[in-house]
Amino acid sequence: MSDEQDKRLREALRGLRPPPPAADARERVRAAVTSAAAEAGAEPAAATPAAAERPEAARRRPFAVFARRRGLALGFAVLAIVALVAGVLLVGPPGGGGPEPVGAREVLRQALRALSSARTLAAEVTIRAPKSEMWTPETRYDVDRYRFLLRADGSYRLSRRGPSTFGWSPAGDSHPPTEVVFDARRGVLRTYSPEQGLVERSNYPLGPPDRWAGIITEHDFSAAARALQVVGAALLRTTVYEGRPAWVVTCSAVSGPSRPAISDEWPRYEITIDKATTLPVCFRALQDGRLLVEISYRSLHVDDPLPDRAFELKVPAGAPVRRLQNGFHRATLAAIARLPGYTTLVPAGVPPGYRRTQAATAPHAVTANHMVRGRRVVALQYTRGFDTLTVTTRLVADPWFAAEYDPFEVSQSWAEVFDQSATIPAGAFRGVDAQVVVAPATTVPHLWAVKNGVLLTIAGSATAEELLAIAASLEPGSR
Amino acid sequence: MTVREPRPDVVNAGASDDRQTVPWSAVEAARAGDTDAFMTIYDAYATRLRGLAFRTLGDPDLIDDAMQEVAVKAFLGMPHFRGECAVGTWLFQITYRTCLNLVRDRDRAVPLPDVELLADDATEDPAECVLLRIELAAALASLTVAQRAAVFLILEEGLDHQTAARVLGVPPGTVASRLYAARAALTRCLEDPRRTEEM
Repeated sequence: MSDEQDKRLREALRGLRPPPPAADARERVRAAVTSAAAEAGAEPAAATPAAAERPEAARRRPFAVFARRRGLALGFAVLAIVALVAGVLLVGPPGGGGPEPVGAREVLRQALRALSSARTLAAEVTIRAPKSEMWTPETRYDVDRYRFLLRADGSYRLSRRGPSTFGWSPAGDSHPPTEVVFDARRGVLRTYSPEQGLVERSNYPLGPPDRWAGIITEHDFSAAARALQVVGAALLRTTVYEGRPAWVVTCSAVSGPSRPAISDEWPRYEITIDKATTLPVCFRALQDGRLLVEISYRSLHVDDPLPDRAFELKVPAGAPVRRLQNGFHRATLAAIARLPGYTTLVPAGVPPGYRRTQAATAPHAVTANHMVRGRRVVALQYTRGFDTLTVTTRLVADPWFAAEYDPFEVSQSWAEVFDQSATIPAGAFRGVDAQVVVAPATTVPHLWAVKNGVLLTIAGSATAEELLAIAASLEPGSR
Repeated sequence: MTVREPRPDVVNAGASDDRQTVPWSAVEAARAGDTDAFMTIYDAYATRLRGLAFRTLGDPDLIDDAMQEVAVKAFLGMPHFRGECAVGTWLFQITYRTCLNLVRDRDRAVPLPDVELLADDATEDPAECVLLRIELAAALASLTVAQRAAVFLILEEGLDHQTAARVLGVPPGTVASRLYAARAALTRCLEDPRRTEEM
């Protein structure tokens, strides 16, 4: 090879230069670095008193959430187990070349990393919970089984196997559906039950708070794993599960930087992972040693191709069809910005790897917990593997109430226990106090703040520092 | 973490390359968590790191995200940077490993760069330039990620084999063999008789 040839080759290769960076690329890098710096140097959440310092009523109310809304417990439980299943599977078995997890935190970290790049998931899911909220030694259990498919674009399918004893529906149908299919690209949710027929909901909300974050499969289950990450002191022990060596990761529902990993006062989460395959084989939520919910996954496949036809819903001929509108119209940001009366606030920086996948607007909306009514809603969604972030702004009629009340949770309890108040340091919401809630028991890490009658919400797989950094980067924009 | 002493006032971009320098004080400040100092370092190398990311990923759409990840990893890794190699070499290492992980994780085929992304060159026949670049892009896409990285570091960036080997995490001999195979494939584009005849 002559020097002359090398020179020609070098010159030719220099003609294949990379495209220039996006206009905001450097700012995104800076925001990401700043966010990383904040995270690395974050102090324990001193603003939130330890659980032991809380009034008894406030400490006990989270139990009532489980009691009143079992779906919440189930939702979180499923989110957690799927997150771990996906994460550990993608990382691969210990003998497969990757390092063996050294602790609970490392297992969770690997789960998070894998979720950021996962594309599909398929599994058989079994959920078991006591029939009665009044637990006795004779308590019997409800059992539901589903075939579960999930794609990184947010599309999912749940096919129920056998009768439903929980009566769960993602959209509050009067009869528990046998099939639930969400087409994230088109924003259409279809549910089918023999009693009710097909119900098709168009313009379905992009994410929380306008739809539930943690009920069974909503796209952002990785957010639950993110919340679990705050459990810095989670325990990892070995056990034998059905005759096989296994790990058990244990943490408390309220574990966090300033709280103990395990407390007898709070529900305890146990995740069992088979050592030979690193497959999580069981998730259990326990309270006072009694089972709240148990979930197991079988026949799990990660990143197998899931073609569109896997999400096609075929219903019997002649089945009644009901079509509903949920009001969240997908549009480009530029188109939304042209609407009279709408201001589009866009984050200049999001955590590394996220990219905006959808924008939508709704003239009116009520949050899924039915507590906050808003108008001129603008919603942006960012995705990264199975991770999602949803940023919304809306005008609210009662700014004081909107600032005080957690728009994400079914009860104020979690927010009262976990929230931290932080001042947004920059951007369109500069100087406003935001409420940030990140903890294992929440349905999704989230932030909310109100300024000039506009409610800002940010929810998804992110740390508290990242949520705050996103809020601080919001500026009017249409790109 | 102790930094090897004494330190030079400036830090070379790569062991065999002194085109870019940053004050050692910026490195010290970045190691202590100063984001402004880190951005000074990042800005100094961004274009070259971007080039490696482009060659490794092959997908222009992924570069900005990759660079963001590189920056965060580098910033978080600064306290562990002990000056055992040049900052540029270290940043190239992070960029290469990050891009390699992205390629592996996403398991995606590497697409050809869009022709409109290619730079103009007024001194040559535009048609010939475009055709050559298309063929060269196709030839690059046919190489392995490791081969493309070797081509970039040695032929385009001018690193020596030892430094490139350090970036790629393989022995110098492996780099040499990768470069030999890659160079042979790419050079064929320059000498393709069909293109010459059609011109």
